[in-house]
Amino acid sequence: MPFPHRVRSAFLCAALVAATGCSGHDPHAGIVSSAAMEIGDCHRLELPEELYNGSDVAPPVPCNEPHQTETYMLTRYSGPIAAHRERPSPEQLVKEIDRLCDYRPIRPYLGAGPMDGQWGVAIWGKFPTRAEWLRGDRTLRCDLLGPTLVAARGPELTVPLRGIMVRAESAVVRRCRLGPADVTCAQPHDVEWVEPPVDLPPGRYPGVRRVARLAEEMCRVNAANFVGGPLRGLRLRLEPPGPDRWRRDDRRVECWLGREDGAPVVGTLRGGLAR
Amino acid sequence: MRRERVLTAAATGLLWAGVMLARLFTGSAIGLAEQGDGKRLLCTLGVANRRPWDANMWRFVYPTWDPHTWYGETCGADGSGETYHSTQVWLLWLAKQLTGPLGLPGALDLRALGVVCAVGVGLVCAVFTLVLPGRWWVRVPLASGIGLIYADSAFAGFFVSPFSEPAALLGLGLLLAALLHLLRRRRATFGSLLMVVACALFVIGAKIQLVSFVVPVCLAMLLPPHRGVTAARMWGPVRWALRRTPAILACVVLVGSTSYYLTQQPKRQTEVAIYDAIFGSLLHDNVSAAEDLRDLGLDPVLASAADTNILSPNSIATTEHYQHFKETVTPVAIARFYLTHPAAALRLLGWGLEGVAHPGLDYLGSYPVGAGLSPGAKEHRIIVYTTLWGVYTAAPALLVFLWLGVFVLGWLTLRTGRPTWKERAAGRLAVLVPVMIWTQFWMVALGEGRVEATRHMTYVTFLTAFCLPLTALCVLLLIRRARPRPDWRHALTPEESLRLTGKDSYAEV
Repeated sequence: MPFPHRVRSAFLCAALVAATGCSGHDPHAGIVSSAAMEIGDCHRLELPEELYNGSDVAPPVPCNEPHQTETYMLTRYSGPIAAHRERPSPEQLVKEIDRLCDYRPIRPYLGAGPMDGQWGVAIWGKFPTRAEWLRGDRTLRCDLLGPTLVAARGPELTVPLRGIMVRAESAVVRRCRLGPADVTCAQPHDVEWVEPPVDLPPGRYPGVRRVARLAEEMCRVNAANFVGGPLRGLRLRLEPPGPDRWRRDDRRVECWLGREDGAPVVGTLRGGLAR
Repeated sequence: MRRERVLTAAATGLLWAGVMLARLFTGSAIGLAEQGDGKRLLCTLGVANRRPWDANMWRFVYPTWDPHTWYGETCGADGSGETYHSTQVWLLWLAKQLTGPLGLPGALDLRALGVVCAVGVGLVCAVFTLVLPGRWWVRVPLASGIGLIYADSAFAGFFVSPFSEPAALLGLGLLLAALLHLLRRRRATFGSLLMVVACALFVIGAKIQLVSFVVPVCLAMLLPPHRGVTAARMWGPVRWALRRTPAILACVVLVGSTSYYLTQQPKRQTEVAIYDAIFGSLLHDNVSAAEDLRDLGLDPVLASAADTNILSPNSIATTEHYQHFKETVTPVAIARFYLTHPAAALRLLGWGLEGVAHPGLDYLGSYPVGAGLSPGAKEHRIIVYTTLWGVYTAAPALLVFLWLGVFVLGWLTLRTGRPTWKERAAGRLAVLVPVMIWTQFWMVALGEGRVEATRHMTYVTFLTAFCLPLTALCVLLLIRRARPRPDWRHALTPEESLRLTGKDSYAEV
């Protein structure tokens, strides 16, 4: 039986009203404002869409749970860009991150000493939402983005980065190599970067053998300091500068340390770390 | 409505729903990969795509979406987080409800959307079988011709994708059928007007670029006078308007709702589109780039950013020029520029025609990872229209002749002989569709330029494909009218009539 005209019209009217579009998503549910974020907070941004979004108002997560970034610094947008009443384009805001998120507090935040080189962490900024900007919030959150250990999972951390360099967990942000590929020391690797690298004394290029001998001597001292004892069962691998690099005033020797048998390992050789 | 007509429509609808299900799911399911913009719509349903971080999402279809909580601006238009509105959400909501009962994984599986859309295609074919003029052997093949458009590889992939296209394509089919229904009577009714407005709003609500349909749809609604409204003694224009009061009200509702919808659209999308229109299109391979920039009121130095997008490392969005660019270049300024620069408009026309002439998105894969096919493999299960398109791929300018031809055919259908109202409706639709094509074509060309022209011209391609069954219908009507049809009732004498019918008296006849 056909619908009466009125019923049909009512149905169509309802459709018209609904056609203007609405959704069940509430963007304000459970959020934490940008201004309420604190240094040391860890942030779960597990999807590329969340990581690459300019603002983040998701509640922080405990740092021993999977997360992607950790806040090491909070600052504010200043100058002409901050004067805009409406939030400027994300491209302009991101450009300012390079200037405003200072790299200098990173090493102290990580607890890095002279023999600790951090690797695989990147600066990642988050700016206020449009609504927050309109309300006058100019907070710029400077985070550290963790390294990618498993390609299919993307960048991910399960430990706090604050003071990590004095703990064995720091393997996750130390530089190692598996064959020619750079990896973090929390992944299987055959050699580990020894910090600090060695700079040979200036002067004329002394020849391949002398450079190798000098590099070996200096790296051995650094490596012994790095592991905090004799290099038993360990082997140095050196990358000294050749004449070309030397001519460009690059006299740096990269010192790498691995097991004598060459077997891949997981973890760091750095000595004196808390377990 | 006659029972036979309804049964034929139901059978045609069922047939095409079945064809769609078979072409989408037989063997491995097919769909369309995405470029990362699928989230903006599906996130509103509280789901996130299940795929590895390093997934090759342009090359493979990842149809499963898991429950996920999106905070703040993470759900919405890329770059701004403004809420993205589309009536496609309704189809996705239906798919979400069906995912579990169909035994599919996750909270929402796009294969369930494929099922919903297959039913939708069946519905469109059924409705066309109802409203097309002619006997069943005319209506069923023509409705099947329309079903074949949806089933073609150029469009079918959208039905298992996170894009807004399924709602727009299905809505467009229903809108065309509603227009045919409105125009097939001498006078409009409230029901037919409401159906047109509802379908038009559904289509425009699916994708903002379809706002161009407001003009041809309003023109169509204003064509027939309304049933029961008389104003015989009024002055011409007043009488015309009074007899169309409900249609005028419907136009006001359509324009008002569309305007409101426009204000709700993410401003970021317009910003990106304007950037592409200038740097991706106008400045592309342009020997007079500096001059054109000056005519637009911009610094000629910006010519160095030709072929960049807003996210490019050398995008001007990060320079001090950008604020002035944003304030100076508006959609109106772009339209004015092309109106006063015919050579540039011709280049735009060429890119647009190229976009229509190459159906299907070659850069997006059709198969899920598990199908065992190479990355980016495309499906070609039904390619009737795609094959016919070979003509236009070779000579895109022929499209203009097709559109013009359909318009003329429609006009002839209206003007030749004494067509019935149902036949007139076919003629009017054939006149209207090229208008819809042109308005949509220029809307896209001016708004998006040559960047992703094939994707943005999807609806022009769809309407162009629709022109083929429409042409067949008009030709059929014209042939029928051109054929001499002797009226035997007048040619025979009463005695001869009695003899031929074998009756003894007129009472029996």
